[in-house]
Amino acid sequence: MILKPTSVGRFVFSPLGGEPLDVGAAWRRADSDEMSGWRSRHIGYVLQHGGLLPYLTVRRNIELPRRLLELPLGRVAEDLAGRLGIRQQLDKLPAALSVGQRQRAAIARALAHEPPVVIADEPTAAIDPLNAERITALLARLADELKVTLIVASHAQDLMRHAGFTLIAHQIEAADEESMTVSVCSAEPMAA
Amino acid sequence: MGLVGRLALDDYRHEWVLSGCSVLALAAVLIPLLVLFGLRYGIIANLLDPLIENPRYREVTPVTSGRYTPEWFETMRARDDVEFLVPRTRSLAASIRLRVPDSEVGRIIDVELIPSGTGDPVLDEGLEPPKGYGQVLLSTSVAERLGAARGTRVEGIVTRTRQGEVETELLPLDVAGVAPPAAFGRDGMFVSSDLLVAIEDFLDGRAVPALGWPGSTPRSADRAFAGFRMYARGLDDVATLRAELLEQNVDVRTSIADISLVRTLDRNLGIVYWIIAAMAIAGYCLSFATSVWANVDRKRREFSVLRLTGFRTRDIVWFPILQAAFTAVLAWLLAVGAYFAMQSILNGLFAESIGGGEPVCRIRAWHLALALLLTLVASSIAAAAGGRRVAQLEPSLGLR
Repeated sequence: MILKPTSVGRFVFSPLGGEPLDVGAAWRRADSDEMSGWRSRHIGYVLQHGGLLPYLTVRRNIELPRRLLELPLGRVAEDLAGRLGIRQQLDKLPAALSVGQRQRAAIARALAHEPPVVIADEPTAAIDPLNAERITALLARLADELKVTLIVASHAQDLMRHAGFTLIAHQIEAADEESMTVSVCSAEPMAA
Repeated sequence: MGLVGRLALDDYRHEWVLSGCSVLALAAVLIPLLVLFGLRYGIIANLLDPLIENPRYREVTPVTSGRYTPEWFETMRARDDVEFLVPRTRSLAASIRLRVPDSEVGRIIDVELIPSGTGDPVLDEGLEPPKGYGQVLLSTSVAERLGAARGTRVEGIVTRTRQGEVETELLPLDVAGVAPPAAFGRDGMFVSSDLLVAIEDFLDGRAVPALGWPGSTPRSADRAFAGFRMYARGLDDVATLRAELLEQNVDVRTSIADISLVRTLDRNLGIVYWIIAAMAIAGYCLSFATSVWANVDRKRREFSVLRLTGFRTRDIVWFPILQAAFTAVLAWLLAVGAYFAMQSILNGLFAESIGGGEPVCRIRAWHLALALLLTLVASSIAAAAGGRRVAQLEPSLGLR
């Protein structure tokens, strides 16, 4: 994901808490299935287009990472949906939701299995500015409450700064997908 | 696998229109194949069943008299392809006159003696073969002509000329049963080997001590016989038995021509059927494989989301294969239902005119089970192409 030689991403880090993860090292040594296991335990994803599975209800989308890890389901889906304001939508299919509601459901799914890291790729790119502001604030607040390291790739600098994120501009000089290495020429906090 | 199976089923149900189209497409291939198979099986079964059910087609009859020793009978009985074998005496010495004593009919008829024994294939189940010197089974025509039935006491009359004098013996016989019409079409009487030998000995002028009949010295126990009644175990054993006997210079008469005709027809129809089936299945596999491939390509983002979530490649690969299995099972169910409807129509139309009252289209349960297995295998092989495509999808695709 980070290895995009053609795109220069700006990476915004939430306040760091917990152990840092050496993703590159794990990536280099692990095989595909081991990486899958690692991802399922340690990372939650929020995708630009939501990435909800269209054939599962919102509830089952949210529960999916927990089912995969065979964690108890409890009331996790209800709790997260409640916090994100989509409790009424739990038993609907994603197609019946607005874009904003789908993105909230995607955030709930990313957090459902309590991963230490959530990676969000342009989570507000597809929604209107008002909803984008609300969702960014929700995301930041939930990450804070749940002590999750949140990495967001976004072009909406003002929105992110306003929500309290620390902005870091990365200038990728070169990327070699085969050796899984990235040369970064700058990774400095951006001035406010 | 369980979670992937559930997801595959959910997706399959969610996309019910496309799933339904896949099911219909496969059923459209299966239905004519099942009907063709049913017709082929029904027609061949109609030809084969009489051969299998009627032991006459498994009979191996010597054309001329010979000398068959007890050792020969022992050796031949030990063969796996021989179901039934009893000695037969000379034709001239294997007949008797028969009447019902004190009968108003007063008819005396000549009957052929047919040696019988345990396991005689021409006798119905439940009809015990005659035992000893006093028990017989009558052919249907003899029973009708004498007005005899099970339990009737009949009387055998044997006459010989010895040293210029005519000698007659009367032999009381109990009718133990009446053989089915198919067992023997002429006037005949099934008897034990003991009685058959006794009558031949008497007609040859020898004494039969067991019946108190006088005559010259009885034959020894290791006597040779002029013929035999032999039945092969199965239809295909007739040819091997015939070959064996020809090798022993025993010329025999069999129904091998009838059997060969049906077997050849069966084989040729089978070849034609399997060529058609192979072409249809190959065509279906190709079309299904491309359809699964296209479907996987269409859903590549969903698959990559699953990979991002943490599903392993070897789990996700099952997704299209399981969906192919769902299609196979549903299409099979639909095809079986349609087949039985077609079977009913075809049998209604042609059973009387072609099948002689027997169904012309029929199928067995294990044929349907085999069809399901083949459908599952073919669909899974075709879907493996989609599985391979899934395995090639990168998790990062979900982020692009």
